[in-house]
Amino acid sequence: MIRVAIRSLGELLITVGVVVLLFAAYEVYGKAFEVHADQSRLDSALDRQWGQQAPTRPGQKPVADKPIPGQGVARLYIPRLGMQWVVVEGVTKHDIKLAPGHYPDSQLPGQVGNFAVAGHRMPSVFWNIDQLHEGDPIVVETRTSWDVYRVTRNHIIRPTQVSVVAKNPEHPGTPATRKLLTLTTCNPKWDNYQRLVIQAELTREDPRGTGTRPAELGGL
Amino acid sequence: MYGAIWRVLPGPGFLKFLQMLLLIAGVVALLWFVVFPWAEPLLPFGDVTVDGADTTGP
Repeated sequence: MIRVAIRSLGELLITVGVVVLLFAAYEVYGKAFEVHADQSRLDSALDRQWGQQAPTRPGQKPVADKPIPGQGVARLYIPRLGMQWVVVEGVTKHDIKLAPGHYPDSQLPGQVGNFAVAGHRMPSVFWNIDQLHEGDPIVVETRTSWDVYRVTRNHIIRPTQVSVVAKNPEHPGTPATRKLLTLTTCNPKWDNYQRLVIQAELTREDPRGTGTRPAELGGL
Repeated sequence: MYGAIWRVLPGPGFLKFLQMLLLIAGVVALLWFVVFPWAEPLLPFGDVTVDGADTTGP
């Protein structure tokens, strides 16, 4: 009787261990599959969206639409990590489930202020952004331009330090003068008591649609 | 537990083995496609925004 009980307990514990391992595999491979599927959907949706917004008459200024929550805003490229994503509008749990999300109150790429983006710390999203060094390029593709940012700061903060996504992170509340980009994700990996923050500043803006891509992209 | 399942399955050894594989595949599929996607948002891996107020947020 005791023998049976002990054996059953052993089997149960082994089963729990196997299920936890399977969950770890899901977090990496299952999620990566879902992210890639969602990214290719967003990618073609963004192409369609940008095609429709093109000015109808030559010389007509394109209208700067406010992005729609859950839809693509821009493409984000990190050449050092060999990664790229479509960034969606919004940072709710639903918005950023499978893609990086743009803080709706922050500015858009290329604007004076701060283009702030949040993404999960999972292998298919912002897993390795702690490896970014000062000077590394981060390229943002919008409908009209290629914005080349360079990393200025890579630091860890408390989750309550909301000023990093403010228009002027150094002096929140005062008018912004620089064009910044901020990435936030959780830190440490698989936990949530800190945030990892990458700050970058715009160094160059190329027009998009001329057939040339910024050299910083490398092979991406 | 597993011994009891093995005894309940009908047929000779290799049939029992095939049924066992099917059962395992079913359980794995159930976990992978139903249980894990449901459980994942309940865990703290997803808190990536800076937002003091919204502790249940992303």
